[in-house]
Amino acid sequence: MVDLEALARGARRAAEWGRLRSASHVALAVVPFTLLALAVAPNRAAVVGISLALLAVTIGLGWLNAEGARAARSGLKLGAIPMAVGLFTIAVEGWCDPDRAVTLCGVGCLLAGVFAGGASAWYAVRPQSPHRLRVWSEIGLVASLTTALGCVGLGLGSALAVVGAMAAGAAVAWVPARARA
Amino acid sequence: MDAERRRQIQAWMVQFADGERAAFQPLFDALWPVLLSFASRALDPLADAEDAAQAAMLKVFSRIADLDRARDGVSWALGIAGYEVMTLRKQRARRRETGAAPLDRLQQEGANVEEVAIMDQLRQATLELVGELPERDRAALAYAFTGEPAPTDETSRKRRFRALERLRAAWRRAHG
Repeated sequence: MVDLEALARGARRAAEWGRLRSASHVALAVVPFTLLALAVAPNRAAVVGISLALLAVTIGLGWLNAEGARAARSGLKLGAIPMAVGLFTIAVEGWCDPDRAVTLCGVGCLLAGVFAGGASAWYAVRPQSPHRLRVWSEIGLVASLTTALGCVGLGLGSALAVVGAMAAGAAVAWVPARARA
Repeated sequence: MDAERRRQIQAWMVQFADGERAAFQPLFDALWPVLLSFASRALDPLADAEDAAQAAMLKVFSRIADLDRARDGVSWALGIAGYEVMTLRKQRARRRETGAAPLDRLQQEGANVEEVAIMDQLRQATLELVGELPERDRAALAYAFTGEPAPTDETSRKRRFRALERLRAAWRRAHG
């Protein structure tokens, strides 16, 4: 005779481990991003810290529900744009001159941040989900951490400025995106 | 299972796969009888069917996060159950093979039927060849078939040696 209560407990536990395993696939994107940032950015401790936070957030969102997993994937894609711009400008010698108030790398990162923020609002509004704000914040969080991974090499202030630019871009894009949806 | 029930299970599967934890209990309650019934039709003792259905339930839930929403969830679950049934059948078959091994050894301690049959055939083939040998050679080899001790004198030994040579030649001609 089967103990159905024990079987249900086992099935529930198996389902949660399955969700975690499935969510962990996001590491296939986060780890290469981290390695790229470690190869280019000078402050490696900050890169490692941010990448650990990014990994925890993306896995956590994927484990929570399918919407969270989609938000994590969208956030990674959108955050990869300013991250790539940040890492590129750091890699090119002379673009991040510390003696100048306005540098090419700073401007590039800010513009990429605004673009990613606007796109994140677009992504969040597009699906007909009742939890648009939550999805938006999840995409924004993942995109910000991914951006910070590339822009922390410019300094903490620059990374925060890029994240702020993303938030501003997202806020500005939210109104027309929602009206269109 | 009717189409409505199937659609309901599919809906619970999709909800649970999407992260709706509240869908677990209704899905579990609906899926268990389906998998148990399937396994019962494929496996004879109820205990075996229950084992296969339980293993299938655990696998279905461990993989539900990767569920393809476009596919029929019940068919997917039955596919997993079918695999578990096959695995259990193979395990049972292997266990039966392992279980029979001590009996085989017991038989070999006495007379193995297969070995006895082979020996009989060889003995029969040898006797046929001996029957074709000349009378002198047959007489020289008679001791081997009667169980009497072989004569030890030199003449008998030489006759036996020559008779065995001719028997070997006849065996090679007959059997290669």
